[in-house]
Amino acid sequence: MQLKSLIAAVALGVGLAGTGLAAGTAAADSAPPAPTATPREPTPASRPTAPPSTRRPGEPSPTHPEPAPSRPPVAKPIPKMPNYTG
Amino acid sequence: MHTGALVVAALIVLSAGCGSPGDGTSGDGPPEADRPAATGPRQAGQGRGGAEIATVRGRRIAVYKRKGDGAAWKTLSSPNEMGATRVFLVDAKDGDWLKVLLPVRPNGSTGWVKASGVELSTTSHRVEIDPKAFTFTVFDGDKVLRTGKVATGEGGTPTPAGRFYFTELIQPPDPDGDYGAYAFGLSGFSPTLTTFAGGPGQLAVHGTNKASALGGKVSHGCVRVSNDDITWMAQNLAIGTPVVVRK
Repeated sequence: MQLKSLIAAVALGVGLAGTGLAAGTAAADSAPPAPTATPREPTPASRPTAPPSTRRPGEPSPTHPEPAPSRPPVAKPIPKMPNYTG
Repeated sequence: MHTGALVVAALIVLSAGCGSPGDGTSGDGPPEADRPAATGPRQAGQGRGGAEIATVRGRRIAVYKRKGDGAAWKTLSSPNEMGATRVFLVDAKDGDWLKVLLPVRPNGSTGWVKASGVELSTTSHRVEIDPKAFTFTVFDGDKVLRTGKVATGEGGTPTPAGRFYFTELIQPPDPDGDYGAYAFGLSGFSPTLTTFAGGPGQLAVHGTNKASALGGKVSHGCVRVSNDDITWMAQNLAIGTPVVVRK
């Protein structure tokens, strides 16, 4: 009698585990793109798009916290007689 | 006893199944490539963004032998001896300090300057000189922009190998003279001449009025290129551009 109960418990456990795996896989494969709680047509402001950005246009990317140094200007010639080794 | 063991085994199977939904969030954390880079001293050199050039802000700059030293090792003026704003090629950065290549003897000397005393810029250009092939190549990153013939120093006055940079651009009064149309001063010096024509034996990349001598060892240490090539360099390259003379 005890053995039967035990087998039933194990079978139940394995079954639950399998169900959990299947549900997890299904959720990963077909994640719904938008919530379904609001059936009305979303306004442009509330339309689900990319995550909201905290950066303004032209602001440096957060992956580059230091501002990139500018390019140096092309050399400006100095009129002079050189004294290099020649 | 056997019953208890089986119950424990069943619970383990159950928990393992529920804890691995395949979302990749458990385990050892994000892959190495996604982790932020460690901060601290870093080599500047010719990295992804090119070479960094430090332009002196004031009329002079203190150079220290080691970063954090209390007393300056040297004080260099700006403009430099040729009248150009003083620049350095940055070798490494460490907090508020920059290790820079110095335009002093011996060739290859480095020192530290405070970052607050300079303005930084970046160039992806560099010039490589191959004395064996008597050629120069100007790169923009990995892209070749221009190549041409050079003349280098003769036996007693060789052109030394090393990593240098342009310190100034001079326009001689006579474009048909010995220095040609333009002359870029280099941060290096002749290993054999301590003075030349009243100067300190400074090396340069300059034009020439003897194009037929290009491809040979004829100079006193300078690197000569054609007037077309030096004019192109003058129109396209910045002071501070790295120049490597190969062995």
